[in-house]
Amino acid sequence: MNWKLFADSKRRILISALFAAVIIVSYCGRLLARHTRVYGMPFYEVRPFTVMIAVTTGVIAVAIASYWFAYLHSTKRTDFYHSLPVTARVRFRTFYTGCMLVYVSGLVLSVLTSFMFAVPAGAVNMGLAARILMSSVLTILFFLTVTNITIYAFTLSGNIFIGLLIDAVLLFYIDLWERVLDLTWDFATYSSFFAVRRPDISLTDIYIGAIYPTVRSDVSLGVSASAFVWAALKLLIWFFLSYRMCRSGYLNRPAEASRSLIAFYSSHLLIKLMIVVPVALLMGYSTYNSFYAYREVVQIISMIITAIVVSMFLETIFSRSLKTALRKWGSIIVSLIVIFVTYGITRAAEDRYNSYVPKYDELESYAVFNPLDSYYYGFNLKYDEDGHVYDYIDAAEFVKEHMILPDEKAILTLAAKSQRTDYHDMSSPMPLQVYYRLVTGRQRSRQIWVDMEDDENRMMLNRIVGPAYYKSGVWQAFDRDVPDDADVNSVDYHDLRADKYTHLGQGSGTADQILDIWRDDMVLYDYDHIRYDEVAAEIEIHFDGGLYMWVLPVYEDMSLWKDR
Amino acid sequence: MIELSNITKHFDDKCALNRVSAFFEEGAVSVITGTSGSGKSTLIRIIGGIIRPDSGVVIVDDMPIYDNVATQKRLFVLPEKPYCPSYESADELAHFYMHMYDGFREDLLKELVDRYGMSMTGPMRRMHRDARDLLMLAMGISAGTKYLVCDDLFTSMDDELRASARRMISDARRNPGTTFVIAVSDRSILGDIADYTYELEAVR
Repeated sequence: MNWKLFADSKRRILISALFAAVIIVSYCGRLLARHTRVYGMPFYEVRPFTVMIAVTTGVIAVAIASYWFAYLHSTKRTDFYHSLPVTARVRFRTFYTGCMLVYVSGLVLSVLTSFMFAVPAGAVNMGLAARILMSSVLTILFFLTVTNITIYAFTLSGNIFIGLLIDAVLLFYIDLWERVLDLTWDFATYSSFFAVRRPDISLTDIYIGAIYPTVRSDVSLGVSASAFVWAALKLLIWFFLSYRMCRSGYLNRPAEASRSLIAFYSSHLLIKLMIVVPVALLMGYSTYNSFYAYREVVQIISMIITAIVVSMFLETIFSRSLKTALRKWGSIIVSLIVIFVTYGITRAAEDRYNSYVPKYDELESYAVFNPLDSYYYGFNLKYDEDGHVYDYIDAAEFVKEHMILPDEKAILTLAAKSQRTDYHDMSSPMPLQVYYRLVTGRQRSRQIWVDMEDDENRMMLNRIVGPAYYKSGVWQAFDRDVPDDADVNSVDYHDLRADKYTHLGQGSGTADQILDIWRDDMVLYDYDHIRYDEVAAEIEIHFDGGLYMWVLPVYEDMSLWKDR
Repeated sequence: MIELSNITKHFDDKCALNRVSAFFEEGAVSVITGTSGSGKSTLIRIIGGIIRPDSGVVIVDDMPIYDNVATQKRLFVLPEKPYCPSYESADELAHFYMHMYDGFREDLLKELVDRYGMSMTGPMRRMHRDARDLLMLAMGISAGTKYLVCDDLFTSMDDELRASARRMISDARRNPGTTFVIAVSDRSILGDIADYTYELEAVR
């Protein structure tokens, strides 16, 4: 560190600190004005709140890092700093520390100041203190990683606009490829509902996914800490990798790069490939379903055009000459090779993927996601170790665990018929997503297309949806009474026809009584109900101040409707 | 002594310097001349340790210059358009250099400022560019370094300022005994103060 370098940086420090302070103070002020209680935010506002924190922190990180390292884009300023008797390592450490201190010290100071006032007021308990510290650590790690990536982007470029463009690409590169993969595997039989949830690896997914359970005071500390630990580990990996990259980029960056738009001439091809390939694939897959009859032709043409246009655009930026861009076909050809190899692999896999149907003796059981029932799949609750509800269970995870359908003949009949007829030729196609459990212990998920006008299909669907196995896999309430410790503050009857609510009572006793009647009524429930009848009413059982609820359908032929 | 040995430098696919060798004696004023595009500024930056050559080496008092603090403390570099934070005054910049160079002579700077009618107060952005360049030359001389490597500050100066610059260099050679390596487009700009002249040819 060379603190003397800061003698030149007074203005930079002041502007960075003021910028960060204005953002944080205005945001906190708005929050306080909106919420009369400091920790009374409704759960449905917590996620947007955490997203805003991520955006705010990211913007501050990009602004501060670019302000401190923008000197790399000025020949005059580069000559000034690089001619001083300071090694590049010390110079980097000094500017990096300046960048970091502005935000981190401000955040730490804010937290300590908050404690200073909150503790005497009796507003702090251990759980709250722990949450504040955990979320501060996550936020600082997130800030530092975004800072590192921005610095790296600025070392790769010679112009602030190119630097910010590269920064955007780097920050969201994993998200870009995740989107490409989503579209690549969006085959006709791909089951998005049962797809294995990818672990959060992109920076924003890790931070937003972890900060949400960490800050919520209605979640037990154990749940918050668990989310925090995993996210902190991942963010630490991100931080160290990005720090190594930005430091290496800075130390290896030639001073003369301030004259070019891209610092490392040898990196032109790599940067082009990194951007052209996913963007072209994304465009190709995005247009795939636009013109069904010619979809493959449209996909190929859009990939080629995108590759050429984006490659030329980038080459124009690198060489600052359209003429040079028009001459350089080598990188376009390399990009097209990579694109078409990827395309070829996915096309080869697609037919095999789409034609998969397990054999009868391979199948042990299965679960389904029925789109006509989809509204009710999400109302299953998580309980912490104290018996309090704190979140909804992921719909797919609940179905995988609780829906065990044994009627293999029904599903295999539907699957076989789906293979024989393209869904575009069906009268009334319905995408039924299936999770096969094989006798080997493995699982497969597929989407099959069922023509709802077919009588045989209707019969099979009734065999699938009618039994209790299906209902147990959709409604937690079908098998389970309200937990003894749960705070049932309201049981309501919502007449959907009249749009009228009737309060039936409160407490677990009332809820259990209603549940018994509802379960008896649900014996009637089958596919015909879903297909041909409308839900006439709903039972809503509200937990924990109304933050969470069970929602149960009532049809016209059920006693809960007839005797209302 | 500053010694250059087979310095080669390319920018993208253009060759700026091709196997340039020279040595600059202590206590002398060495002038590098050449046409526009001959690589003078590049060579000055390489000598100053700002740019690393593709091949070859710059040795200052038996030590390489690039990223070497001990050697860089012996050198003060003035590029063609020296940067000075526009919101700072000359006084503040001088204090900054005092932190960087242990031998910075505040008394010498004051003497030069008084002698040549310059100002130390007020933001430097308000100064005329040529006057600012002359002030930067005074800063460089006052830094107390053994060598002062300077790109062409002089071509754009008017005759009066140029004469002041020549006098400043000539005096500094005696006191404090600075060695100068200066790049100019035309040798005659510096008159007869140059002890040695080197001509750089553009690489075709």
